[in-house]
Amino acid sequence: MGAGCLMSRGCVALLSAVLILASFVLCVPSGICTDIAEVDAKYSIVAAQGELTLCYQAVANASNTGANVTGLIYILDQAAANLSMADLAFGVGDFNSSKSYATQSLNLLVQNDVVSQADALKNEASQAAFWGFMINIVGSLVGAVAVLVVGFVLWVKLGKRYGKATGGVN
Amino acid sequence: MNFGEYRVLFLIVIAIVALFVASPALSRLLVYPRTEFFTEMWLLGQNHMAEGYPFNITRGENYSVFLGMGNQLGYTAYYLVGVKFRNVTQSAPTSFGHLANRTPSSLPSLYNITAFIADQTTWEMPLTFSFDYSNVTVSMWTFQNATVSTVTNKTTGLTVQNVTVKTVSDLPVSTLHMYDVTLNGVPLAIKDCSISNYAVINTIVKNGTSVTTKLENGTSVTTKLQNDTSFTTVYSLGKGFFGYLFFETWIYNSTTSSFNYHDRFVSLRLNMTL
Repeated sequence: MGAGCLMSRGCVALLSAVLILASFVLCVPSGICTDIAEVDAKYSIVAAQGELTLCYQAVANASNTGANVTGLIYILDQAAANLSMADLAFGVGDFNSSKSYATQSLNLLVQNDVVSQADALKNEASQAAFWGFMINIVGSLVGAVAVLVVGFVLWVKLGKRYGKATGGVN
Repeated sequence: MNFGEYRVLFLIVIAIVALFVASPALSRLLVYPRTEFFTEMWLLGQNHMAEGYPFNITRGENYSVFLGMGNQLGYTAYYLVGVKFRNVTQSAPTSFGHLANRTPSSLPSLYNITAFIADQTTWEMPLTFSFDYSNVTVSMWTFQNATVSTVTNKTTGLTVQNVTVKTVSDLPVSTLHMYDVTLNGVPLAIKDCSISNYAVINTIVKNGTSVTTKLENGTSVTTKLQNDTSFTTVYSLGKGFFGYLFFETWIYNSTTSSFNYHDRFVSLRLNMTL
């Protein structure tokens, strides 16, 4: 049993070594590996760009409702800087670095959950804007009308009382 | 003093109190709406002032400037700043004239700086750059230099192009080859860019135009062109090897999901010294 297991492990190791060697022999001269790395890097860049655009739109929507998006913009800037480096590395054929930068960019956006944060800020800002409107616009206009009405009533009552006290002569 | 005499005082007090209570609403309703929406862009020297810009460049030496932008568009904008380098004859961007006529440089970006800027806020980035370029190579040129002039016949009112062609022999043309610019520690390769002390402009002249060719013995021959022909004109650029490091602004358009040239750029004119 133990010998069989050892034999099996040895076979697997040998087989792996043969496969790796074969992939080197077949892949490297034909340029297949480079092509795969290039496609992989391009795919990572496109994915990161898509996520960045999605996050930007969420942040822009939140900002339009009056939310403070400074923290989210900082994250977007960091992600975009990584994406620029990914583009640059891709341009010079360094596909591994390119993929690494693009993945960092994507992770930064996903791990910080920028879209959800932006949506939450948007909801908060919408509520704040609603209450701001109710208090600042509706409240103050209603208050001003109330002051005028109270003033008018007070004027009429004082006029009547003063008229009675002076016997209708003023 | 009877009650009627207090009437005006009472009305004034009530009006003041009503205005005071209504002031939060009035402060929002009586604001003049924004009518101009634009993006600001600036380049400052190393002392963070509009002076002391680098001009004479030494190979490998670091120079600092500050690139800044201000967003007055009314929404959070997604900008892309394309960093480009060109010589005198390569495509330059435009930022004046009718919007439709403003175009970016056709050169590819060496690097893209991305900036997300909230409405009514600014963004600034310190930039340190250095250049790597070759020594000057001198070559002797021999070519047909053309002077193209437009002449209007006063009698007929017709406009005619005259081309005078002269052979120039052994013109010493010095050329400097740009390799790369290192921006904030990142090396960026400058492709296909050399800087000469002479600029070559090719002009296409239509068929039917009269061409006067000056021969080396001093005589001249005039013929009419049978086809559209390209002529070379060479201009001396004086002493120095001039290049432009410039920053073009592009903006993300959510409707088309693409970046559009945002009609503005800033540029540094640099003299590459040896």
